[in-house]
Amino acid sequence: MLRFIVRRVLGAIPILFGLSVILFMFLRLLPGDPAIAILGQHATPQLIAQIHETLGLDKPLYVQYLNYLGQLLQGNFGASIIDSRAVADTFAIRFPITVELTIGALIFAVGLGIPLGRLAARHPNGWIDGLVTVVSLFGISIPIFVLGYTLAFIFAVELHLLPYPGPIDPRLSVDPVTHFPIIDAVLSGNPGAVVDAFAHLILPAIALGSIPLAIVTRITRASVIDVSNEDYVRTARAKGLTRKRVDDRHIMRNAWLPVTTVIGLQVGSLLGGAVLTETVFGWPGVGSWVVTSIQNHDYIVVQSLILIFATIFLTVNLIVDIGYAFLNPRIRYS
Amino acid sequence: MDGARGGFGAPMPPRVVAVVRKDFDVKSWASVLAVMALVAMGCGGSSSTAQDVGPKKGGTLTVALDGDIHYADPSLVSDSTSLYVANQVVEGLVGLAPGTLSEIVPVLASDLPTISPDGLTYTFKLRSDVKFHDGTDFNAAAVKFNYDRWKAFPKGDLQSNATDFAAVFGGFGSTSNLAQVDAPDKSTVVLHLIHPQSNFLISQTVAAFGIQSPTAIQASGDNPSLKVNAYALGTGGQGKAMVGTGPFMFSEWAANDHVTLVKNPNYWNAQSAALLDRIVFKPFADPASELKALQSGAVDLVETLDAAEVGAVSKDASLVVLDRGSGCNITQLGMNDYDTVNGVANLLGNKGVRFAISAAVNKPSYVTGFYAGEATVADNWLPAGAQYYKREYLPTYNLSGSRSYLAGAGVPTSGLNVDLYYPTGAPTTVFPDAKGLATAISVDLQAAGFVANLKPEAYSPNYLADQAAGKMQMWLQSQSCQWAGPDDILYSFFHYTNDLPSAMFSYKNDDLNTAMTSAMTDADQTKAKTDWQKAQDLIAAGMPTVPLLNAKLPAGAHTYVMGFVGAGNRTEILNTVWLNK
Repeated sequence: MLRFIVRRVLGAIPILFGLSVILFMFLRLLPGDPAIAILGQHATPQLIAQIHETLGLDKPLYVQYLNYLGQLLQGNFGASIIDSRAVADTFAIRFPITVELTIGALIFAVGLGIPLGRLAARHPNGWIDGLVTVVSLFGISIPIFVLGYTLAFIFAVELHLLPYPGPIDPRLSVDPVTHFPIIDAVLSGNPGAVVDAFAHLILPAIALGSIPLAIVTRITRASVIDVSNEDYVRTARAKGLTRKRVDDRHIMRNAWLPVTTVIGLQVGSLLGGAVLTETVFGWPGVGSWVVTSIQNHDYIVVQSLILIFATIFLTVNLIVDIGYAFLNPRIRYS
Repeated sequence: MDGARGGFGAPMPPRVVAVVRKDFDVKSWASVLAVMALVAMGCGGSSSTAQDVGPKKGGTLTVALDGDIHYADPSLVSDSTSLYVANQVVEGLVGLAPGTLSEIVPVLASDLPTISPDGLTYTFKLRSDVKFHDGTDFNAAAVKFNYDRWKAFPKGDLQSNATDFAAVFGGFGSTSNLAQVDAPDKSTVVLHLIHPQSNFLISQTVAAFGIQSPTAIQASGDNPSLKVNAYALGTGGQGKAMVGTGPFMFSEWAANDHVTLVKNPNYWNAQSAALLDRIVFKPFADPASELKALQSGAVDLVETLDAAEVGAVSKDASLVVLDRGSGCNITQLGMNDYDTVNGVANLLGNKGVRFAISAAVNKPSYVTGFYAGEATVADNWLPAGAQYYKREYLPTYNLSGSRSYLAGAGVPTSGLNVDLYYPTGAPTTVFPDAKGLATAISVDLQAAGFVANLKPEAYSPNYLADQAAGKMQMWLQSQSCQWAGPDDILYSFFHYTNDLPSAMFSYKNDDLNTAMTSAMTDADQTKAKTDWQKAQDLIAAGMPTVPLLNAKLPAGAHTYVMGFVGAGNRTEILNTVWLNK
């Protein structure tokens, strides 16, 4: 197992290196100039040249890349071209917000998706299965931004049931200690702030979790039906075991494997989906940061964030692979 | 000001809004009247009603902005969002009268300055009763510290961001037109210029020239690298960034989440002290989110509405569009007026053709069609309300007139090909519907004998870069004022040096250039006014581009937001705002 982990970690290095080269070149091939993004309509050739010099954009591309790589190897992700803040500092503030949103979406998707999948599998091809299928298709088909704006319009604008936008009402003056909005609300000792933070999470979590919900539901359904048709399940039933015991000990234990794989892979998708969800719901997390940085041609931030996202994705995949071994003792890594 | 639209103007009494439910029956009304009578009796016969109640103090106003601020040091910002926040916190020697674009009034100076006859020396007498938000004294030494600091900004981050100082004074250090600042006593400061510049006073109304606490800046270290400049990054919080003298004090900046200002309890001008306890500014990435936040009650006021938002806000009884009056911006049909390139003649190099285009475009229809009526037809390149503005009588929509211009220009009267560029992905407050506007213009031009080839291009930064480089023949262009002086638009558009017109317009008019050069360096403001108005006449006679409209950029708010006194260039201070709830 240890050898497997070491091999996977070492294998990630050329992937990340290659990605850094591609990202660096790709972003600079895009038309546009960050100096003009900074200066806007007041850009003059003199000011543009001055900003190029200040930011080192007047140097040859390979020099710029080597400078960037040198910083990376020292654990320095650089600083934003637009607001001069260190990427690592801003990431430390924004990432907890994205994590909270991702966890919220995952809880929604898994918490609802597995029961729905099991329910559909218990009545295959019946009306309940049909209804679950329709809900799944709806979740997977509708774009996040459409669902997000629709939810906001219905529940925040029309019904005033849930708050919008942002992770917490700024009027509550919750001190950002951990930068996890709910935890900070708890630490503030203000019960109203805690309720407000949870309420702010509901709509974006539903919007972001809609696609994973559909996938988890479908995979759970398919997996449970597959396992239900296995001989050992039939045997268990023939032995007269209760339905609950058959479900819990014989079906679900074996149906978990593909479901776990999918849940693990969804973490990466959720981080990607956060880009849209955070923009729609005004969450100041990493996702909305990517959007504004792309708009501003903030090369350093975009390339650093994508590298960090890639690292997270590779790590989560590795954890899922390791998790297999615990869920299914028959799997051995070498 | 459009009082009928509610909540606008100087502090106003709260409006009594009767919410009438359709299912209210006679019995219900009788109950209400009975309760009202009891309440009146309970008031001991007083005639006091809700309308007599003055502005309420306290509360938090949440304001939606079109993006985050860039830095917490106003001298390093030039974007409208950062300056909007800075305007609440810092004050300059002079400022603008509320609700005006160009009426200069003393603020930290006790009076307007005395200007030497040669226009090189500005002597300001200062108020003696002012303190910075950190409790230190405002005085002549503080003013000198600020101007000296700006002038001495080292090359790198600070110079790159202090674009307003560079634009006004022509550069930093020895290249700056600011020769020296003297502080002969605590309440007198003297600014010496190398050459006279007639835009000096109006340019000093911009928040980038707000005076900040020397103590706070020095304590922060004022690092030339913005990556570690705690003052500019606002990381220190209250008293350690954006330390000015205004009615609100900087409290906190959570980047891309919110900026919080709190009331300055010791504001030097008690009559103009803030009514609100706090303002929270929330940045938004797109107008749709901003509008939903307003509708859901998450924000009380949206700083700038685009045309689509204006429509939605107007239809909502709980919301109100806050008119700021005439905007300080110009949306025009940019034109490259070069004569020939590689031996090929440019149609737009012909003045008659430019006049024909001017008469072919139906400007009022663009105002109603693409700006929800929140714009005025431009009759000059300079927005109405700007300093030394003069109304010019430009051709109005007249197809036969347009054809006459073409006939007189000696060009064919049909099949005239021009490329018309428009931006995609532009902020909707700049171009609410650029494609729609370009299409409407192309249809109008077609009726006059032109064939306009529509050319879309991504707004930022390609479009801006290409227009600056003169790569477009004709294009939609929008420019807003940094200050409402004629130089900020006319000079930046059409002035040139070394006999070489700007690449953007390629418009060479030596008489105009001479008039503008003279206007910029006039020591006497009366002479400057004459020269600037002559320049406007010359531009109108040459029609280098076609001004279309001035967008109004209204704000939007809940009806309980009262006392908003808007300014067309979005420089209003929210000290008069209060919440009627």
